[in-house]
Amino acid sequence: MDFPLIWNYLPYLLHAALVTIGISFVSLVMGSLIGLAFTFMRISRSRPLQIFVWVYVWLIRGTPMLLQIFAIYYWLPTYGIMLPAIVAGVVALSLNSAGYYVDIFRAAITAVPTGQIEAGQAIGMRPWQVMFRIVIPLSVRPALPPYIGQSINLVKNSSLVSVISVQELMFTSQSIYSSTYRVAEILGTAGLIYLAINTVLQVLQTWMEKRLSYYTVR
Amino acid sequence: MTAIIEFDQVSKYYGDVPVLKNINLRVDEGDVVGVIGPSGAGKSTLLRVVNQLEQHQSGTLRIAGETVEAKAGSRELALLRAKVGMVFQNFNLWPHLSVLDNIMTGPRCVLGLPRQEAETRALALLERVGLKAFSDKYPGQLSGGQQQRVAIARALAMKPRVMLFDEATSALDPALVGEVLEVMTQLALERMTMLVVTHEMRFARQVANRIVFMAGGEILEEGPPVTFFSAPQHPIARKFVSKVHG
Repeated sequence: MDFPLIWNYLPYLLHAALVTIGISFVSLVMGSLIGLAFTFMRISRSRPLQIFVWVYVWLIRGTPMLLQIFAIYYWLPTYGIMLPAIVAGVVALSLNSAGYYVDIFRAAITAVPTGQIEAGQAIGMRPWQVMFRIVIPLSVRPALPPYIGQSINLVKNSSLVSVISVQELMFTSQSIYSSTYRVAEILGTAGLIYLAINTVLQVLQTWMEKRLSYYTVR
Repeated sequence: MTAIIEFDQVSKYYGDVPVLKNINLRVDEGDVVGVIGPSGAGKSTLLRVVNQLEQHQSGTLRIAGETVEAKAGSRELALLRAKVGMVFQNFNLWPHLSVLDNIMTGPRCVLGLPRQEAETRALALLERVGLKAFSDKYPGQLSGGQQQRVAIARALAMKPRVMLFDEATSALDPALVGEVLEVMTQLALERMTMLVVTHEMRFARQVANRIVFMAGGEILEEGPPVTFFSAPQHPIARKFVSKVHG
């Protein structure tokens, strides 16, 4: 192990890690919002909306993420939509994660016991009040483990946008080891940085699960 | 006498299977009506049609003088339900809200009461059901009997015209049934209009002023408890009464 070399390149790696964190964070927020909107469409009574989301999830989950990134970066320009690499990367990551978030949210929402919903209806709450005051709050906890799981996938998937030369952690690592030939040192360090980012998410999950365990006896 | 609930030839089907057949029933202000009968008689369905958790397919239903359309919009439904309190077999308290918030949610977001007023009302109701000290607790920290008393307070907080009890004590430990029946009896004494589906025959006999006996989706017999329990007319009712009396 060439530790001085790691030390020399560490600032570049950490800077790239910030890009990874930034891309991931924006994609997580966008993906969650799109996922939530699509969930409402999926559980709505409108058949066309349901089918639209069904097809969307089918396409996103059924094709490689790498292909989706290429599609947005190289194929959209043929329709006159030219995105800078980093924007294309964020769009790809957001759209991809949304496809997975939809079913995570939907499963949690439909698992809320009917009696909880009826109690709200029986008191005269309107459907949207039941949704926002009862159903969604009660879905948070069951959705949390798979939601954080998918978010961890998102952070790792962000390494794929290196193929369109977004200078995030993976891209930067590759350019460092292709000039230094110290693959193990550089990739090892990058791996530890990914692990550290995802550990934060993991800890967040544990902390939130604990906070949301409102003496659950049901 | 003001009629609070009026069923006029109301029927309901699940597919082809009738669950309510030509129901005629009138509940006046201050009435305490005990609905009894074997399982699958349609008792709960009858109750759930009153606040339209289940829709009827034919006949007319009037609540507090207003006809309930079978295809009412969510706004009309909400207005109807705000006038009708319901207590469920499984309490259905919201586990993510404190006892106080469980009771305040209705007044706050349906009646639009300011926080202070809703809280005063909720605390008064908690006192009435003997649980004032529990306002900051969560439902999961309460016994079944306590949860059901909170559920009653939650329904009462809407100042409903009528209270529906759907086997409110069936899910409770035998030792906890008494405290809930006590609250219900107190309500009846305060002249609350009540429609009570129950297997507690003693309660039905002592607290109700009218018994409705159902079987197979029909009301087979109706009358004052004394008459009904001592001399039921319909053969099925006779069999039922002899069995529940052992």
